Amino acid sequence: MTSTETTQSPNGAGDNESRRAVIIRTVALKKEYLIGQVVTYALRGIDVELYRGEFICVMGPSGSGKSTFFNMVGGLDAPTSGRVFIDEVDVAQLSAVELAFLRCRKIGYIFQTYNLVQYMTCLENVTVPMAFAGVSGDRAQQRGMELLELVGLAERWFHKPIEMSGGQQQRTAIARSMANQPSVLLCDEPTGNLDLKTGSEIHDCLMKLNKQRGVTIICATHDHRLINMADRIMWIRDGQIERLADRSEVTVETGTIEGEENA
Amino acid sequence: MQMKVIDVDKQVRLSLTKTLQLVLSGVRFRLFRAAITVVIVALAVAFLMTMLSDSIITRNVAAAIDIETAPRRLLGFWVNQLTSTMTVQKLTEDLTALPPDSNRWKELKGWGQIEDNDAMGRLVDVAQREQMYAAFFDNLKEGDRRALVGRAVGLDIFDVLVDDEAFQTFQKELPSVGQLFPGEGIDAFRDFLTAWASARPAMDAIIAGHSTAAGQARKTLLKGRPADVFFADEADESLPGKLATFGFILPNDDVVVLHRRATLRRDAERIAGTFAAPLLKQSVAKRAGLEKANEATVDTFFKQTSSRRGVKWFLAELDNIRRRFDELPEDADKRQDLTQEQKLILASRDPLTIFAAFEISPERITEVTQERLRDKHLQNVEKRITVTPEGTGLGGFSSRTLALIAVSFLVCIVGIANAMLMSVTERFREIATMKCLGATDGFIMVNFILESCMQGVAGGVIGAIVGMLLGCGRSVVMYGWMAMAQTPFSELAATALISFVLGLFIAAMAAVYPAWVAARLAPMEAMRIE
Repeated sequence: MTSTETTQSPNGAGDNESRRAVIIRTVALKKEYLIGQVVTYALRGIDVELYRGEFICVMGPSGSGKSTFFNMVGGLDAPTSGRVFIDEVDVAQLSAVELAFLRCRKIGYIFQTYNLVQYMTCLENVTVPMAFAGVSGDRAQQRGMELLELVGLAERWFHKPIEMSGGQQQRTAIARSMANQPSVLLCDEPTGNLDLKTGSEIHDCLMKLNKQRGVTIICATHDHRLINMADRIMWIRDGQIERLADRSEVTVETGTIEGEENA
Repeated sequence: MQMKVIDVDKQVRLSLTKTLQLVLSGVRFRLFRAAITVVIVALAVAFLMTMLSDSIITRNVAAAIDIETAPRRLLGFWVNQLTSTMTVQKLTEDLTALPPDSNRWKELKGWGQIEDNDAMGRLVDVAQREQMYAAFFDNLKEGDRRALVGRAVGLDIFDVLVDDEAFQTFQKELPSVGQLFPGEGIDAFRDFLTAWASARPAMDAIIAGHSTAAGQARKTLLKGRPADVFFADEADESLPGKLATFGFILPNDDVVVLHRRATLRRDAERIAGTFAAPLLKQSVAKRAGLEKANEATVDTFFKQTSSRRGVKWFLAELDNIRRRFDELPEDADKRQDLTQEQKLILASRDPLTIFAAFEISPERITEVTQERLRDKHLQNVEKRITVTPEGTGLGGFSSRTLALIAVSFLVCIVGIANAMLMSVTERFREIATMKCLGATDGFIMVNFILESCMQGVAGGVIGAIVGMLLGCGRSVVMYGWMAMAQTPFSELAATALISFVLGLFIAAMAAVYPAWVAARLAPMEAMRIE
């Protein structure tokens, strides 16, 4: 997909394990918005390295800059200063078409509101990104069906989004995000609109992708069970990283909520 | 640090068919909004098409009427030639539009005994200038004209102004009138007055020459009959020769046309003569469903007898009435004690007897009545065409109509742009998601323009068809069978194509701005939660 392979970055803390290879790196990432006469600092300098194959959860209250960080990392917006490297590609340097290319093949997006195209069937939705990547008819259909099988929706390929439950729609969205085998999945509150039970379907799905396919998952969430599955957890507050910790260093309680729900 | 480079060439462009498929499925999903745009385009295109097809048909009908009525005009001209006296007014009008060496030119030259063409040309020149100045004086207000030339009107004005004193008054008063004086100034006008004065004798000579010639022709050829009867009788080759002896030039080709037209007119008059019989009038009114016999006119009569069945009825009715003549007493003419019915029978006897003497065949009656109805129709259509004059602008439209069409298209553009902008606002999440999935700005733009084009195609086709039907329908109402007979289908088809393309073009144009707005939408909008 990319034209050249590079040697591993030395500051990737790589050791001998390939999963320690850096996939996303930000350097002094800053973003300012000018609203009227007032300058708002959304990000005040973020330096972080995210590793290949990692499952990282990003937490933070609203207005913390979490969404801005997401947009930067997803190649959706350009930083005011600083750099974002996605798979060693400097996003700030890319033209509009190059950005489209990057979004098409390197990153998969999962939205809180699923964002499926309403007038397309399940399978058509999944194959849209393939069309943008130049994968044609039969091959796209075949791959789309494989992906739907992966998320457990193969029998419902002909359904329109309106005919499916929220969990099914989100699973379709997950299949779609995987259409061009991206190395990173960006999930913005993937279970935010779902109840706990259907939420766990999504958790399973994401975990499966992370563990079986080695996809890096960056997930903004407040869902404790999802946080519970993460490798690392990152807190953002006031445009800065407040804390970045391994799962083992954090205590997450999920039992009570689940217990209530199950009762 | 080393960086990877993205090879953009690998980013594919979506094929047109794939894009079309995507757009089509989108349009199908939002059928109602698409229908609005389609209707807007269809309205504008239909309006244009109605105007265009109506104007095309009108122009064709006008041309056809010109040809159809040529025999009538020809006969009118010759009746006039032989029976009426020329006036200076008419002569100058005639001269103004006279091509050199035409038949009319030769006739006038002969009657005026003008030697060479140059002298004739000078006369034409003076006549043209006279028309120009006469128009100026005609358009003046009564008071203004009085101030300039006193009580004189028409051609007298020029005779008055030849006088120096009168001319000076005229010159003094002219600026106060405030009207633009035609021609090249006051000196040119003075030149004209001199030329006019010297041309008058020649004109009078022409008029006198014509008058004498017409008088002699009447005496020798018409022998006291009306001119149209003369043409109805005489259809032989010798007619142009006979007329030539009096200086009239009748082309050979016109003889047959004149004869045909004149016979038609004569026979129509003979048939219409039967209508003077009160009994026939009564039955015609009855057949036409009228309550009173007086309501029936000659036109009602011809309408009732124009078909084959009508003629049969007419002839049978004549027989019926004639049979009743026997009921009359022998000396009915002189008796005073006739009953009302007997009086009616008596009044009907003479017209019908006269008609019977003409021995007009039933076929001829049919022919004449039909021709007469046709004439009536032509006259009606002619009147309608003259009351709807169109300008000489683009496509034969008046500037007013053109402005209307332009406004309708502007409204159309604004309407489509608005509908598309609403569509963009509604679909911001879809658009942003597409961009997240790898759609380029170009794809989004093409997507929207294609969508609008599709609606433009639908609207254009519907509009062109509806507009053509409306335009043709209007013409049929206005011109009757003339419109049907003179429909130029290829021209209409070409016009429909033009209207359709224009509609499509406008739909595409109107979508450019909304498409641009859509293409600029940031992909991060997809993350937004309502």
